[in-house]
Amino acid sequence: MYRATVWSRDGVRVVVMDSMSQVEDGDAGAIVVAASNGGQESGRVGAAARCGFVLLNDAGVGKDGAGIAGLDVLDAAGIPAVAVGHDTAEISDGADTWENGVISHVNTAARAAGVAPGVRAAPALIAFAEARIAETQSPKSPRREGPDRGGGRVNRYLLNERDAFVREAAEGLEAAHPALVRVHADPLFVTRRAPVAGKVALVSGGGSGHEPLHTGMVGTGMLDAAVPGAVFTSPTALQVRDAVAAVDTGAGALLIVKNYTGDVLNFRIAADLLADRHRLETVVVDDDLATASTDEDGPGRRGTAAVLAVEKICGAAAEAGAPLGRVGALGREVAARSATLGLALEACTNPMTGRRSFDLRPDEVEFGVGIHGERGIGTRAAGSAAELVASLVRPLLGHLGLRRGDEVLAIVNGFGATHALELGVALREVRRVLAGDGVVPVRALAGSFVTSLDMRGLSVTLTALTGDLVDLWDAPVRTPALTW
Amino acid sequence: MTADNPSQKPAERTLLTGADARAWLLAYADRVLRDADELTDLDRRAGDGDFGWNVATALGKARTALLDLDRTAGPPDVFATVSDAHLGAGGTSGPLFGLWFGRLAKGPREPWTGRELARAFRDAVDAVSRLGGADVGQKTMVDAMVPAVEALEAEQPEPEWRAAVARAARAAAEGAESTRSMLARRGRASYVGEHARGVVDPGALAVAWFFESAANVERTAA
Repeated sequence: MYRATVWSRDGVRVVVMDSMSQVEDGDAGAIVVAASNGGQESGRVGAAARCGFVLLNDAGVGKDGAGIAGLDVLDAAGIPAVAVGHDTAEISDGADTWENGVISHVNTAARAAGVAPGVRAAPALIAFAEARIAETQSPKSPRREGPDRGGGRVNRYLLNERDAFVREAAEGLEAAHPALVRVHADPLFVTRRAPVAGKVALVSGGGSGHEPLHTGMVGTGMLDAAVPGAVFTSPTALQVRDAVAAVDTGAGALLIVKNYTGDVLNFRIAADLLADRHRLETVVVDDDLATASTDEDGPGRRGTAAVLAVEKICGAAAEAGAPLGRVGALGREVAARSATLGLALEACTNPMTGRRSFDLRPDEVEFGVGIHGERGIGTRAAGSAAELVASLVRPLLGHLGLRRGDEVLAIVNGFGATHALELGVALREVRRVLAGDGVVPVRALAGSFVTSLDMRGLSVTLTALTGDLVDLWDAPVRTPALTW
Repeated sequence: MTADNPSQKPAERTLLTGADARAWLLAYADRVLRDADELTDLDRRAGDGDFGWNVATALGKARTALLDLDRTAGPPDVFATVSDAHLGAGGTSGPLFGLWFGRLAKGPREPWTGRELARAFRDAVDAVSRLGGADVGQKTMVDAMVPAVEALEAEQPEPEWRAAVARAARAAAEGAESTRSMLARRGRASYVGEHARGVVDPGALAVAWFFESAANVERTAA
């Protein structure tokens, strides 16, 4: 029986299957295309699985509309559902349904979501998926009256206007650390209290939801400016451009960018438009092994917690007066020497919808997750801290080619809702795995630095160190989130 | 703005002044704000549906800023104003249009000759193509930008700027139309593959509208 995920982005998936009976627990929230008849039973299965959207076959509609009665069942559960005409796609053939199905009937929830009969199913469903991503990511989306309570557990966030979430948090950061940071509004960015003349300026940024990164890393010995986008959304090129212009005192600026398409594009465009007045270098951090890909045209590996090591080490070099070329080379060196893997015990909830980005059973973990609530590379059986941490650390050792006697920096990073007790245990287990291979964690850190909203879980980053890098890691730092 | 300013010599009217650029960009903003639904509809069929909204938001802001702009502003000030509005917008097309206008803003302060106009647009499209990673034939805004600049470069000797831009507008419209039969390899439309065939790329269409909008600039001096 055919079953395949034909489209996936930002946590929203389209899963195609020959029969509704193939639906799985993990399909909660997914857009499910099943070539079953649209009768009541199919509707009940889709509702029980808490699908985010269901497409079925109208089976010729039949007596009393029995062939599409499932659409009403799903409507009652608040799930948008449609049927394709039995003469446009063969019943029980998922691939044919996806490729050729034309929507014949829609339920009220689907109509409310803008899905209409008479159009090809595939583009209509992708448009629905894209709209849902835009709705969960865009601060400009129409606001709901409150957290969505349809399907799945709901977490609430302490916030005022959703559009003001990021700015108000930055203002709170300044209130807590007035001697360290300053908030600039319109466009929004956070700088050190005062620019440091003659020093290479470090500017980083990205979507919000990863706090304390990056705004909490602004201060002595680390960043000169941080540019926060909306939650899980790249900052704009305008924010980046104005932040660089505000902190570059003439020695040039290093842009530190996590490898995501939107972030890279906006930083590159800002850099291009600044190039005639500022000397700039860019470091792209791409440490997440879970996204290692052989596709040359693909976006490459994601950037995650290694950005902390890059910002700390480059920040120390800049503070000590290193020129731009040297600071940039150090950043690229640290990025190349670093690798990260993470896992989730529980997904994060989106502050715009209150909805969890995916569901896990108590006996499961999601392995290889990134920091935007997306699923990882596989759902695995839960285990002890020792087992789970070993599953993260072993691939890192192999990837970095670490051997007996090699020295590393180990960062155990909580994803937002992981308790310090758990992170402490995890770091202990990292040491045990490293000790087994004779690799020496000469420096280590455990805490929540690069978070994914309220996700429960953690990542482990290893950075192969040299003597110079140890000295730069040890150099004094004073920021809201990191101080020694 | 109904009569020619007698102080401007006829030859100078062949140059693109700051006032011309401002009127051109205002006409473009009006066009997009009026017909944003058409862009949104195209994007819904071949992308993620937010293009019309993003570009209309940017041009709404740009329009307000242009109306506040000092009357003595040169072409770079005008293009910089529109660039900033796009750079602050979301999506992928916002920053790329911001880059395009931002590169135009690096042209000379004084009114532009046809050659300067062509040079500025060449520089701008090269930047968009390089940073956006898109070449002609990939169903993006570049498919309208490139033929337009080729038309500007073909106009010799020193043409009246309106005539040059009118020719660029025809080339851009043909370029936009050519995206109808293309399979997207870059940009959002690449996610939907074959489903975007038969749909004009909304970014390319907006570029065509931009060049077409110059026809609405009155033949007056500021």
